[in-house]
Amino acid sequence: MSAAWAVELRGLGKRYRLPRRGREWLKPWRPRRHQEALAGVDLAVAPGELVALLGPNGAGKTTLLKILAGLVSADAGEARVHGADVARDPELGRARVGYVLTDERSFFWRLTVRDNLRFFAGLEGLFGAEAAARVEYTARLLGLGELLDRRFNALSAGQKQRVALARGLLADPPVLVFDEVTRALDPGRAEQVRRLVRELIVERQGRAVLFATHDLAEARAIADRVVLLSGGKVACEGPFDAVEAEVRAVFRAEAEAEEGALSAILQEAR
Amino acid sequence: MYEFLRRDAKVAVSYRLQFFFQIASVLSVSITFFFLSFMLRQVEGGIRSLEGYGGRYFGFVLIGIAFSSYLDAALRMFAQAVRQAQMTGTLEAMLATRTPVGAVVAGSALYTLAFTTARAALFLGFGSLLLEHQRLHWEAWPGAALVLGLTVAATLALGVFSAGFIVWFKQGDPVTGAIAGLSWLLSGILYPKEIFPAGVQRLADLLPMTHTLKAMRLALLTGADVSAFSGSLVFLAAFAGVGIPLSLAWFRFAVGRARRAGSLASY
Ligand SMILES: Nc1ncnc2c1ncn2[C@@H]1O[C@H](COP(=O)(O)OP(=O)(O)OP(=O)(O)O)[C@@H](O)[C@H]1O
Ligand SMILES: [Mg+2]
Repeated sequence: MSAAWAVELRGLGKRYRLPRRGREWLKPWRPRRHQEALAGVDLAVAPGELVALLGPNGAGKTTLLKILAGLVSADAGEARVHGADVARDPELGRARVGYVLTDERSFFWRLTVRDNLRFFAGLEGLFGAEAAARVEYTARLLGLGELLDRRFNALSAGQKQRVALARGLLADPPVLVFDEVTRALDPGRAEQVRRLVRELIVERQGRAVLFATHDLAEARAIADRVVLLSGGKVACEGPFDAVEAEVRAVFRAEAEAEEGALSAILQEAR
Repeated sequence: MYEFLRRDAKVAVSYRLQFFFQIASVLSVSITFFFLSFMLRQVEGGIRSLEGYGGRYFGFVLIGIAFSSYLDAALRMFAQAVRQAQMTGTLEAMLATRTPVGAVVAGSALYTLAFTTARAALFLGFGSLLLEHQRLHWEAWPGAALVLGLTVAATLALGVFSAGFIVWFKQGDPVTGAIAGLSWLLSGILYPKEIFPAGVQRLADLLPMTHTLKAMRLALLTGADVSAFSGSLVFLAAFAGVGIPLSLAWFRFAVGRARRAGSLASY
């Protein structure tokens, strides 16, 4: 096992237990139904590498990232971050992996940018002068220096995104994971976020990044390498151009599987 | 921990009007009970159940309402703090940091606990201005402080327990709810528990609030020293001593469950 990888997943598996429904309550001895989210995933990311995690809806991207970040526990396999297994020890995942949440609601709207960042710095174990300096530094890095004393709710959408990135960098984690962070952004803002991730976080700072998306153009624009998840397994991986045909085929097949139901609905509507 | 306190205080102060109303409500509630006791004045000499507590209704009820807020606090502070953070998404952001889940939850409830204590102090301070023929025995403060400390600890035990419920089931728990309801009914907040038959009183004696109020009243209204309410102190200490480890274990279990179900931060 090489510690040269920033992230190394081996046979990572996760099944969610589904809640009992209706009549199932009458037969509690029956085994519960499960939803398989990850079925043995192998994947590695090197320091300073940006890997796009591609996959259609329900492929298991969010589950994988949350396991790395210590928010969901795995039930099989290993998830090593610089050698230590965060699937065993979720607290370690929380310390070593930055889970970048760009949902603007995950901030305190009535506080200033500075107070927001100071608060999250505190949760990352930074206090006093050290926290103040770190907040100042990260804010400047993302061009937020002028905005530190504005209330969060007075920022534009693009500025809020940059505050979210700043929050992800506060703890200086070696690994960052992004889950469809450009989903709610217009094309221009999405491009800004991609450039910050690519040029600042990966190229300049040398961090390892896993970037989940179901947007093929985005994956091509940002990643060194793509990993395609489908049905909880790695379907293929490699540089985007090398696997493009296969990726498109998987997305098409997934969509076609639902085609039948769709045409029935449309038939009905006519 | 201090970071949580600062954050919530800033948020609270940013809602200036609401902050002001919360303070004002203390004043208006005190005055309401002052007039109620004014009406009861003719008969209060004859109310035998008040005798042990200095004989006057206003002093009695002042202690009752001042400390009953800890019931609300236990029931709501953890639950509400966690629930609100779940709904806004701040919980997930907080849980993704290296601070352990328990500390995030405790920190989120800290402000309410501090606010509750400040409110109780305000009730006592303002109420003591309205007291007639009676005064608060501030010199009994060591005993009162001890009761306060143990009350906070008992509140924590209940609060952590209900936080576990929120983390797992995403809704309030029946146990803390029942304890709070019974406490309002039986523990002697607005009227002395001595008006109940002996059997019911024994049930009331199982509630921490009963002991908090009894001990606080003995200390602050009659100036009694600790030996007069040592039984209540022992009960509160035992409740906290058993309750805190149990509720922490339950909380940890609930977090593990939620982590497996992938619902740690969802609602
Ligand atoms: N908390 C949960 N409980 C039960 N099943 C879940 C839970 N979270 C996800 N699943 C299921 O696990 C599978 C993988 O979900 P996941 O959210 O990881 O996929 P995803 O690739 O992120 O999808 P999307 O592109 O829609 O965000 C899906 O079938 C989903 O329905
Ligand atoms: Mg997802």
